[in-house]
Amino acid sequence: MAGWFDANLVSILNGFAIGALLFILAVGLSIVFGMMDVLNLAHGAFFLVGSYLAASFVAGGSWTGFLTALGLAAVIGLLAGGVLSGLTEPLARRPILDQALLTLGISLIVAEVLSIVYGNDVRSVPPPPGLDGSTDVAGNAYPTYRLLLIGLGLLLALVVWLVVERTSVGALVRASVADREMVSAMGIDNRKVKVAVLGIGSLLATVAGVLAAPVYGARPGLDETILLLALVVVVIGGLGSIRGALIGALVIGQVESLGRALLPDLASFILFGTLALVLIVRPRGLFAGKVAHA
Amino acid sequence: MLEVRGLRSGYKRSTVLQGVDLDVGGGRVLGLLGRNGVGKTTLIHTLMGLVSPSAGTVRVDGVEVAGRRPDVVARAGVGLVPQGRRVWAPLTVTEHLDLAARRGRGRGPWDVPRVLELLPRLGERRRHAAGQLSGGEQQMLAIARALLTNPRLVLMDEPSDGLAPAVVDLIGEAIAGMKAEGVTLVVVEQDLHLAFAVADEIAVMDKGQVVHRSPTLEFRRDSSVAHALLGVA
Repeated sequence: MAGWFDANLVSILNGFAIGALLFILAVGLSIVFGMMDVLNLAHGAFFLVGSYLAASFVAGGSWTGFLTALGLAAVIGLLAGGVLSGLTEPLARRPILDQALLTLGISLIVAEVLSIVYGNDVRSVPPPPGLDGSTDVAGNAYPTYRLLLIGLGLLLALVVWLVVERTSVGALVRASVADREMVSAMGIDNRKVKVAVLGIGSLLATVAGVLAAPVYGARPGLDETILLLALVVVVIGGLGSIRGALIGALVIGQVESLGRALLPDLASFILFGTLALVLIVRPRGLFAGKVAHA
Repeated sequence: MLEVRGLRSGYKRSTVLQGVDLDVGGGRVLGLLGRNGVGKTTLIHTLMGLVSPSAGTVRVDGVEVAGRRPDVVARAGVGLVPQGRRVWAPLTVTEHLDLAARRGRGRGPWDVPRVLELLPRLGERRRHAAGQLSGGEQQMLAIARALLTNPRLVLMDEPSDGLAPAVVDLIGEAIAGMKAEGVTLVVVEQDLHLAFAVADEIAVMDKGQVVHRSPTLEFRRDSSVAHALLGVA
């Protein structure tokens, strides 16, 4: 057992890094969908915007560039979420598919613009100075930046969880997921809650894009890969559930990393095999946050 | 206080309300009766803004609210205690009270201590998630949530539904407590005992209209109306 653990430690750590990133992405997607029935398919494109911001500003590998990219990504994410909220508002009473098509269209436009501006080559992004080496983890050399990414991802996960589960703003968000009509009947404008949640959710996506860039680089198609993984996490975890998003992200992180390392031949099957298994056993996800009412 | 004129409303393929006219004076309690499917809940939902009317006017203290969003109607001073309670299952009692109190602070007499005085059972359940409460406790929580926004008009849809008689009496006391504070109420009820106990006046709906209106005492004395419109003796 110890030998197996040792041999696969790097894969397990990689799985945590992916899991932490996926949680940051999926939590915004999940809350917005659970709360407002807006399936934001532009989420992956926002992530890619963050990655290309990193590619633009971190070229030489400097802290200034990295922090500039993070700050810009936060502002752009917040604004993009606000704009998206406004765009989906006229479709609020239409079927979910109409809104999904709108966000899919936006994601295609964003991806195309990025491809025009940055070309179709893979851009690699160096970690900030001091974090570009490797650290010894139980006898394995592991990239320092990835360790930091795991720590930062878990920290962000904790902050998001605390805000949603322990603050009055979080209570408002959870109430909106459970029954938004009743929130509105209390005199609270649902649209403001939606702008705020979409804004913060999109901010998390662009910031995650910057943080992930030193690991995954920036390239066309990354948006779709990431969106698909985040959607699988949301479906596995249950719509609108923070705990579900966290557990789903950690599971899919390991499936993606450890699963691929152990069973390379089954790599493409194993992700959707996991999804299918969860859907068969728990059709509403592991922790569905949405409660049906009469 | 509440003036409804020619209100027509319904859902995609069917018009349920066929021109409702209704007046409720300030501080009065109106019991709204009628068989299943005559439009009582649709009326409550339309008054609250959860369903858009196709015609008609709704005035609350002279302010036109027909067709406005629910949050606008709520800010005009209307509170809703909906059918099936619709408390937020994952939130604790305290979280419900705090959310509501933040909306209503400084707008009227109701704050958390005051509401817990009216509904003491909730005080013992503060840390529980609403989904774990009994039906009666959820109903009290739904009342508390509406009351803490300090509404001048409260719409209640079948508050006694599925509750034990002893709990229905507690709900009746809560309604009396609200009335004593000057709150106007429209109470949709199937339970005639509760309706007669709390209402100053009775209105009866049939086929999407208000077809009868009389003071509660008169309504109780003349059983022919109840028999004809509600199918009860």
